[in-house]
Amino acid sequence: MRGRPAALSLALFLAAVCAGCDAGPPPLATGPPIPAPGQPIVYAALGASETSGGGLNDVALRERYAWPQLFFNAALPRAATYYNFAVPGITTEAALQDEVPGALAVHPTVVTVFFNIDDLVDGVSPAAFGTNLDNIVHALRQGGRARVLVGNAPAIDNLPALQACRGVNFEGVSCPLPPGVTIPPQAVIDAAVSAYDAAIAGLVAHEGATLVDLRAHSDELTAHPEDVAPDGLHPSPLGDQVIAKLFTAAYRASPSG
Amino acid sequence: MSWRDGIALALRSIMRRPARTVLTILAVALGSGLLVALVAIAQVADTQVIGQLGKGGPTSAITVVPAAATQAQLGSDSAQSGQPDPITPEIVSTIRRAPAVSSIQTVISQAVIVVPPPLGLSIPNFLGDDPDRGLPRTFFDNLVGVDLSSASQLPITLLSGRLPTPGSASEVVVTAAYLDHLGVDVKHPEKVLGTVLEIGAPQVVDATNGTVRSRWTRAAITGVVAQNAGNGNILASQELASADRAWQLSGVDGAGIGLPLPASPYAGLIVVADSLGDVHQVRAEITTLGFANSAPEHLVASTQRYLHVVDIVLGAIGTIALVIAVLGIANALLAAVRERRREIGILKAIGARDGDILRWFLTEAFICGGIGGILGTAFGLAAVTLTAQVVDTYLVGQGLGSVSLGGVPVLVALIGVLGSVLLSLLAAAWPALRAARLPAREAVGAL
Repeated sequence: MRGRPAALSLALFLAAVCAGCDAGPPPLATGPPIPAPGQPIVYAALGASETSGGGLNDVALRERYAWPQLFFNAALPRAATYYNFAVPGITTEAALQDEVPGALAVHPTVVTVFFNIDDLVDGVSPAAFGTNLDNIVHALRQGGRARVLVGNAPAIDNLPALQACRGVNFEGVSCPLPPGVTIPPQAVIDAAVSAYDAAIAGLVAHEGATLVDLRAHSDELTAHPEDVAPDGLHPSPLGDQVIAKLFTAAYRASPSG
Repeated sequence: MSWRDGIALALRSIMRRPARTVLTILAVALGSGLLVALVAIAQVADTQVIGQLGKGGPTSAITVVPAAATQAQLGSDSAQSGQPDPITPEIVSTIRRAPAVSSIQTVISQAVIVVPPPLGLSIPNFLGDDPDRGLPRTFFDNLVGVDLSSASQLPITLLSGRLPTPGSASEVVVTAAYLDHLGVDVKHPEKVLGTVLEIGAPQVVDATNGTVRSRWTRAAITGVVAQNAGNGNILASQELASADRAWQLSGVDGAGIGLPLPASPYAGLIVVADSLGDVHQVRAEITTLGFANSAPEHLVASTQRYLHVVDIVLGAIGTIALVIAVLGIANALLAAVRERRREIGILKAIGARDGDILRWFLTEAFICGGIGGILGTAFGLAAVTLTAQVVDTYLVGQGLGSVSLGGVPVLVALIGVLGSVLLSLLAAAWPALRAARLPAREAVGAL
């Protein structure tokens, strides 16, 4: 009987040693669970300077704050891929050549289209604008394979840059029109914007696209100084955020969104 | 006298002098424990040191770079690079067919824009375009694409988390430099695990006016690594890097704005030789093909020589301890022989043979050596395990790779126990023989 405690101690000691041997290295640190990547969606953004982050002078900021980037992050799953084909200063006619082929080459399943100011500045008629934009949207719809969201033109009469063309002084803001070109009366601009928006509404219905009604939120986009970039024309990061929210809401509200 | 009688007699003798027995067993245990601990530590150290030279991959791995080799290549462990020379799929096939090549991994390196979190509408405080608002800034880096299903063949050491799922386009791992960029303490890599970053592959549309458009993907960070597979701080699947690369190649050359088209299909190769001994031959073949390459060939050889010296020193220290223990056994048994002369004489007088007496003392030595060997080996392994855990905790705390025993060194444990028994028997041989040859009359008469 005297040997039992000693034997028990030996067994416990050996068991403890073996447990230590089997333990191996401590587990590596792990973070929170990683969310599922979701469906692989291909998103293409077409447009002009507003779409390429034109109001953001800092390249690093542009990559983070341009509204398509915000839309990509807010609306689409992690596995989505995003291409921005926007070219500053481009019109719908030029975009048919310079943006649409590239966009079609990546076989997008979600497309955002946002043209207007540069066509307006170039004096493109509402009919021609409508035809060009219809061609763009028709091509990008790819027979219904892609969901296309088209932003209409917000009321732009409050933009500091246009006010500067009328002699209103805004610090650091200059009139974007070339010398010798006079800005049309307010009513003419409003009528042109309305005609553009009517054309957009028509082609959206015709092509089965989704309208993103920026016009209805013009006050948010152009009446608040903090929503407009220092150039008085393009959206600021806050303005980009408003546009992204409107596109995101429209995407989620649209069929299969 | 039967074996059973011999064992019973030995056990009775052991129990009669418990203090001496315990001290003898402890001497053997200490000696064998020290030897086992030193040999096991030497083994782990050898494995870890040589393994470190492979930087997480096989020690027989050779890194091939897309540049011509200079004359000095074979005499140096590092790549002696001349003019850039693209590594084509044909070159890869040629190397794959070379003798003594075990495996070959291609590495793609792609220039990307990295946008760290927070992303999208979750960005706090949209307060204008002040770039110094405290958010981590976007930066240019290289995305290193590898075949993640063969990660064990690559110089990658996982420091935290896990590697991305092979083939995944939405998972990446990052290096400590990424943590530095975000101002995250390298001792807390878990802070970036599970976060999502944006990766933009730039395509130059018009080099004259600097028009660039990017292919953007998002990826969750699954781990933090130290890696020497390629030059970059974001490691991902080859599928993601290839898609980004194809996007850049469909644009124009942007060398003038810092975005040149990559000239080589592969940024490098990791060629694994069949064994360490084959590394020189494979390097010679790669050098003959004209490509600069690197491998810790000479460093491994010299390190092995140093480690061998360390092994000898540690083994000698352990052996001295064991010899001292053995002398203790011999001393204890010599004392026992002197004490038991009367018993030896009586046993011989009633017919016990020399062999029976020999068996008695050798059995006693066997029991002491066996128990001491088992206890000592267990103690030695426990000491090594504890040491490994302390070292591991320290290394992980410093943001370095972990160290592992790699399981119980069974061979060392066996040698520890059997060696103790064998040496105890050898130590007991002389006292046992002396006892066995003691004439019965002399033994009894001595009383």
